[in-house]
Amino acid sequence: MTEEKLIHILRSASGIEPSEETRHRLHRLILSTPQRPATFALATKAKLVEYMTLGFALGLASLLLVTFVSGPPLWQKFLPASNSSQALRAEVENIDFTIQLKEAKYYNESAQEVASLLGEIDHESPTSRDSGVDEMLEKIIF
Amino acid sequence: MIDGEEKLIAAAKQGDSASFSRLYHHYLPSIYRFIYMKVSSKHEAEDLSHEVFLSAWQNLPRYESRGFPFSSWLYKLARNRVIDYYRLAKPNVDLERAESLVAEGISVEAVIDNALEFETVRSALRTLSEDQQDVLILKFLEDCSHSEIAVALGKTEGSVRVIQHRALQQLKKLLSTHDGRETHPYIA
Repeated sequence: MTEEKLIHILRSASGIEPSEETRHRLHRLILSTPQRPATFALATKAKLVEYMTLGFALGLASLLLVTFVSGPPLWQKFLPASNSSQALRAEVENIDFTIQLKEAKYYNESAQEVASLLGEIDHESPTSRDSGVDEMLEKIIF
Repeated sequence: MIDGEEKLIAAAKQGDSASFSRLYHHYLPSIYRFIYMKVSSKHEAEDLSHEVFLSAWQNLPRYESRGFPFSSWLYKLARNRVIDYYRLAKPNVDLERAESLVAEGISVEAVIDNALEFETVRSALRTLSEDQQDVLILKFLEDCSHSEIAVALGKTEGSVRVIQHRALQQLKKLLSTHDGRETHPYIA
């Protein structure tokens, strides 16, 4: 089959049409269906935005309600301790206090030890101290 | 294209059924032929044509021409509908009797030497790719220009020409392969 003949056959089909009965039947069926409004897509978007706004508002309101009902401790859980000046000040004061107590304890203990050592030295006899020295000299020399 | 088509479209977009009717009666034969060449029976072609124009009527309020002809939008709807048809359903491959073709168009008898020969070509056409079928139908049945076909199919004019050339070669090859046989393979 040549290309010309093929095209000729294809062109011959240009006379094909639906029957009048089909044409009118389809026409009636189509026009009995309502059109979709042009604003359908816009209306859908507007609804979506409306729902999102409502959801956001409800979420925010719930969060605020929970915050106020639960009181300040809830805020402190979410905030770092350094952000609270009161907490910081209390922490600093506690540190100084602890240091002062430790120093007092140290001085107290060391004073007691020194006093007891001095007491021991005073109570020891001079002969016992000399005999000890003599023993050490003998070891070194001999 | 109808005279005052833009006004008709604008009125139809507002729900004017009389304006849509004029568009419908003008474009139905082209869309019907386009579909008929791609499916196996006139009943399927009627059903799909109905769906195409129903979709056009329902979605017309949102239609924007953007400088393209109204027909290209209808061809796109038809093309998508035929693709869906083949995707969703197992089409009936039995062909109608060749004689029935003659009764469908007034001028068919005068132009076609043999209705059987036409049915052979139509059946072979359906074995081509979607693009090849569309180009041949729009070019030779609807007498569309390459630029119109390019718009309707979303392709460049150059690629439409290439598709047309390859489609004709493929069709010739298909039909010549079986020349001389008593019963043509594309005839049920």
